[in-house]
Amino acid sequence: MAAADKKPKKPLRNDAELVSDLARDYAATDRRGLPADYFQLLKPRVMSLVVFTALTGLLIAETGGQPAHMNPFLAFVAILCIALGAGSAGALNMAIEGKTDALMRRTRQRPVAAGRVSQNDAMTFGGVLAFLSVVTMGMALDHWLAAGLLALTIVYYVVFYTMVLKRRTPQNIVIGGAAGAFPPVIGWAAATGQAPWQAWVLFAIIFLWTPPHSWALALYTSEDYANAGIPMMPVARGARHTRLLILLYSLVMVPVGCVPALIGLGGIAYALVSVFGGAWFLYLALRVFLSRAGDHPEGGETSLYDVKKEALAARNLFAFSILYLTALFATLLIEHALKGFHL
Amino acid sequence: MTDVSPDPVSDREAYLKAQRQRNLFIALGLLGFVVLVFFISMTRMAQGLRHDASVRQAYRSSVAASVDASK
Repeated sequence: MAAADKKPKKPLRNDAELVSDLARDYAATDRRGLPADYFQLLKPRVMSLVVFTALTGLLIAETGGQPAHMNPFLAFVAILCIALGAGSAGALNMAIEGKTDALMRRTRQRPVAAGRVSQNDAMTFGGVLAFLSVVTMGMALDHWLAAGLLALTIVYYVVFYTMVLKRRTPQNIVIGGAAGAFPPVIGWAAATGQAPWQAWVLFAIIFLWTPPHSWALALYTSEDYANAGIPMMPVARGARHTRLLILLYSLVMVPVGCVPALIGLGGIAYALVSVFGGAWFLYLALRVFLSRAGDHPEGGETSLYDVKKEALAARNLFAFSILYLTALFATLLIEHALKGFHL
Repeated sequence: MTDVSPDPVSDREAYLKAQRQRNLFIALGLLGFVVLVFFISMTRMAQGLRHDASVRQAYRSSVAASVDASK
């Protein structure tokens, strides 16, 4: 009787079961990230634009009316630090936004959202990179203004934009856009140790360019933002109001884009690119204003660029805005390079 | 956010492979950082030496000029 009352003893698990359990634990901790996933955490496409604008600021920097001379290796270190600093901000943003990113089709394949990298790993990766990039920048160049601006940019993007503004106000991209506008000022400060008003003109161009650029994208991806509970302008105030704001911001941004030609930073080529590019930007912004882009948010599984006919105007403005900013900074860069060769 | 693999053993192999690759890249990253700091130090020291030489040259020139003036 006593033997019958005894509960059946749980059999010992064999090695195969133990290995299976271990593997399940590993899978549950999401720690299967490959180096490529960590590279993706750095937001390489954003980083390339940051590097490009920072390089422009660094190479066109002037001090006392003369071009700043910088050791080429230290210039490379400065750009590397700016790139890694921008990447660290991207990694920290993805670590914080993992759950939100998983709700949006544009971002759900990101490493943290897809579960290939854990939130803690992404946070550690971003934190270490941020620290190393700022300290290396300061110590290598001995321009702590540049290092301080880089640190400010990272904190601004991660804390002020990602954690505070993004979910609270439809003006998130307007105020948060400053983070993307800092790189040319950092580049200028890296070359000269100063951030004069000419550098802030470049800042103003990117700052004013960000809202029409981001809202054009948001007009045809607003359903994505609505699903994730992010109050982007088309979600919070509607498509019509967003189209009006795009036009108004473009009307302010295009003249500011021409300012470098008036203050001697840019030459004739820059003047032509900024005037004609700006005119085309305004035309596209006007077409967005007159269109019905965003009135009926995209649904289903369409790709980012596979948009409805009514949203084509917004897609065209979004695509051209990237070309416009690239053309402005590329022209500045080329003109200064040619000046350097006395051409 | 988590997708559990239907095959735990191959999942573990994938995990170990990913871990080895991460370790390799961390080692390469550290090595790269050491090399970077080394070359930054060399560049800054070379700049310092050039600066010292130019200061010494300027000092010698000013001394020579004052000696000439006193003669």
